[in-house]
Amino acid sequence: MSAARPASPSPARSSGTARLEVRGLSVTYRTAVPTPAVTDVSFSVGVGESLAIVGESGSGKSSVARALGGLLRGSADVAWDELAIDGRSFRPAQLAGPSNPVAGTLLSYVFQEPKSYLNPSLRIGSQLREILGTHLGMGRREATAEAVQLLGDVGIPDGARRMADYPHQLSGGLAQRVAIAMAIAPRPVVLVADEPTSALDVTVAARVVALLRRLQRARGMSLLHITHNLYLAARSSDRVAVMYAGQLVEVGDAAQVLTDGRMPYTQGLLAAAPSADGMREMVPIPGAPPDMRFVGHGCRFRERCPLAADPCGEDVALRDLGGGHDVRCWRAEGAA
Amino acid sequence: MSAPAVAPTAVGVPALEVAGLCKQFRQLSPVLRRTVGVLDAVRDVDLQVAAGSTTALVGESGSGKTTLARCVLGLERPEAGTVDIGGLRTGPRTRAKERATRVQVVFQDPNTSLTPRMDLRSIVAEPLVVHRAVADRRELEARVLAALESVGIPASWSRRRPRELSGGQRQRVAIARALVLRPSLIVLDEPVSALDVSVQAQIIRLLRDLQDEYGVAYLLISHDLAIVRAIAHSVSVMYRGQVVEAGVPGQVLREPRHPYTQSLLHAEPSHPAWSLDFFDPSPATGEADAGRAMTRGPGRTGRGDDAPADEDRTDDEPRS
Amino acid sequence: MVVGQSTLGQAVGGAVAGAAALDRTARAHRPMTVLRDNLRTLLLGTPLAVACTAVVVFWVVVAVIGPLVVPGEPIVTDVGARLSAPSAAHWLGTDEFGRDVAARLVSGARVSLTLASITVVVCLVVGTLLGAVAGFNERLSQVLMRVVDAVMAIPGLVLAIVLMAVLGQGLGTIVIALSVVHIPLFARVAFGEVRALKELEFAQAASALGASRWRILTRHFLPSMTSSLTVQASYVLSTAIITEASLSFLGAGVPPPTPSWGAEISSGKTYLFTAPWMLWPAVIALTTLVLAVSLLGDRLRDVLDFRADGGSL
Repeated sequence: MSAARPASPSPARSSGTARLEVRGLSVTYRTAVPTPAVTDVSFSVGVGESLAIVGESGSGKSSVARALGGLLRGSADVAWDELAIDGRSFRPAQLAGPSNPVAGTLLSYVFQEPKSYLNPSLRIGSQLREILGTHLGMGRREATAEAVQLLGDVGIPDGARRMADYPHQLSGGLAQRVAIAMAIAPRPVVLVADEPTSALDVTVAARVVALLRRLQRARGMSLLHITHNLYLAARSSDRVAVMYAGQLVEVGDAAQVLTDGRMPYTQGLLAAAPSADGMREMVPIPGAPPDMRFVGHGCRFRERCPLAADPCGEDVALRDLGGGHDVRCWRAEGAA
Repeated sequence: MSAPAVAPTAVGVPALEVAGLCKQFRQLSPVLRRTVGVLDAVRDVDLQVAAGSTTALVGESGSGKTTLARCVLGLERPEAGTVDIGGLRTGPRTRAKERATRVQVVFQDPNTSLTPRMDLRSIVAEPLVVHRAVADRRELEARVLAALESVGIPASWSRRRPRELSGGQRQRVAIARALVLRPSLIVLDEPVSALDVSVQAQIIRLLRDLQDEYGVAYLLISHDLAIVRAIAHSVSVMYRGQVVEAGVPGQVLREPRHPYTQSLLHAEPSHPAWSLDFFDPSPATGEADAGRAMTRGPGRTGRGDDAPADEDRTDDEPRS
Repeated sequence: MVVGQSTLGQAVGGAVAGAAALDRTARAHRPMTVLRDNLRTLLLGTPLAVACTAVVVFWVVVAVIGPLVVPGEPIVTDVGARLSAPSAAHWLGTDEFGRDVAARLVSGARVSLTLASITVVVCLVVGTLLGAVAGFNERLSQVLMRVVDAVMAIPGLVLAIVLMAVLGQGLGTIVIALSVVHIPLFARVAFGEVRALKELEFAQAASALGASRWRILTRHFLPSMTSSLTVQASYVLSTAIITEASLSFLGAGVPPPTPSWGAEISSGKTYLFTAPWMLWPAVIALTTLVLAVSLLGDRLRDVLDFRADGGSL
């Protein structure tokens, strides 16, 4: 068999200790037939580092994002071997109650549709003040000043005037900036952005991504960016993790994954994505992702993989290719 | 896939000819419904789609591309201008059947564009039944099954419901429904943006194959320049209701002249010139300046009503 | 690397490749399977549901074949045998006119159920049409729905009594009165549904390809509206039974001598201590039937809500 060793269970690479460390995360939805949306996912994000989790629908990427903050408690069974933020470990049960120790100060979220999760009946000033008061104990005057400052940080120059606006009065891009302001207000250690730009126009989206990076660097925040756009992920994040059918199938530095993707699925994604200059043929991946309720043993991609062979019928572990590059494919060693 | 080298020669009548189209929306006050403003959604737009070819309309929200498409489909009544489909002048008085046999539409979201409780067979048969385009049941069945087969849906699936299909498969059914009356023009409204990347290429391929086989013309609405490059013979870029640049995709997308087209290109992460720094202004000046810098510049026509697009204005409307 | 082929054949391959995995999912969604499973859960899912179903079935059977089985006449009077206790000849005794109570009971079942069912059907059809027309037409809805609101503002029983007074007593007029009271409920539900549905893309698609509003309503909307309309129908069924019984109790309902549970309760209460067999059967009948129908209606709502969370429209 191959000489590569299986990936170490805790790939904590890049700058020093990890801000966010996840090991063995599994999520199973409590549907009529239980749906194992996420199977044994492990990753880490270093200080000031950004990790993008890329996947299509059904890959489980959103479930991973939501499980970390205990957002799935009503609908799914979440389990992990280890979840540590800024060195502090948490058990699933701790995040299950209403007073979640992680929310806000350690982990904060930005979602896809800002207008659907900002409170429509409160002015954004009130919402910002509430967050600052709850998490940082600020009084009204202090919170107002801080809120205006935050709005400036996210690129809204006339913040003082905007404080009196309601969410529905804002355009998509502005609303998302406000949402980002609210997310970073309690000064979280880790910011989880779940498809933050998918609902925005391309030019607006690019600016929001740039904003996230700037904030991340200015505040030493770690960023977990969930997206379906592999190019966006690779161009804007430090590291990229590709998910398919609930599993991590490739992890590595952004440049590595983009130019040297070893997993056939990653290669397929790169080939299928349109290129803006149109110089490359758009090559489809046949078939569709598996129904997670009925997935069995072996590589979950094998039915669509052009390189499938007998060994793919056995469960495949993540293999460490060195240099922080892990791939879940036994063909990974050797030529791409 | 790179765009076909030679566009099919425009034999005879263009599939679509739009001239001088204008559409305005009145903004009404909430309670008394008094007119408080006018929105120029489409301003004096000309557009052609040669028979059997694909013309793409590119723009972001608020560009007017969706409104223009709706005017072509007869869902909106323009204030001025003409729409000729396959040589026929269409307007509010055009009879439904005449219009339906010439132009059909495929919507963006396959999850909501198919009637949930109807089976695939009925969905695809609907245009034929509504317009009484078939002589008998046998012909109906034959044409429905032929349409489904041509988009890659096996006949045995005809009794299934949309809920049982994946997103890509649903979009195929929507395409079959658009094809069944053999229109000369199909309006594709962001046909793949709601689909996974790995499936997008399948559908684009299917659309190209169908065009080769049946000679149907497409008016493709898209915000995605890369998709446009893959399938269109001609592209028009819209911004705030006007066409700011038009031409062959190979040209327009490689050497865009208008600053707005340039900014669109640069915003595509797959573009070689994409960089976060381009969008990240220096902290001192703030976001708004970056927005202005991109849209001002050479190539803008001298119309005085083109206000500089600052950050706020660009994001004005929700994504169409 | 992946090599693509630009043929329609690959399109077929692409579509069908996911078929194996989807087949199992698909079979679970087949209409007949879903309907059968739904009905089974609905009617037999819990012990309470089984009991309610049994009660309703019982009364339906009674209404259908009761008059053929029970000896004795509901209308024929027999003064000599008035107020006699239950016996072989008269299973539940006789009333103050010597009429067989059991026979009146089963005939009353037939009357109640028939009137209520017809009312539900009328309300369903008229109310849905009304609501749908209003749903499609913004301007018309302003007028129509205000009328609906006005009618709903009047307490049902009061309105029914007034209508009976105006229309005169009779089985037909009862249906009219009950319908007028309950149509607004259906109209409201239909209005809300149609208004929401017409904004969805498939409705725009249907209208874009030229389907008439009638066709859109019947072919595209109604199938999605069945759950809310069914729930409404079950609710109206139980209230129609009670309202009819109340009207008859007050003497403004079914014209005598046609039997009705309400009327029997009314006359029975006079003889509560002297001839209790007159009162109790009707009371038990009415209570059990309405309770069973109501509980099944609640259960229907729960079952459909559950499905709504799991599935799509």
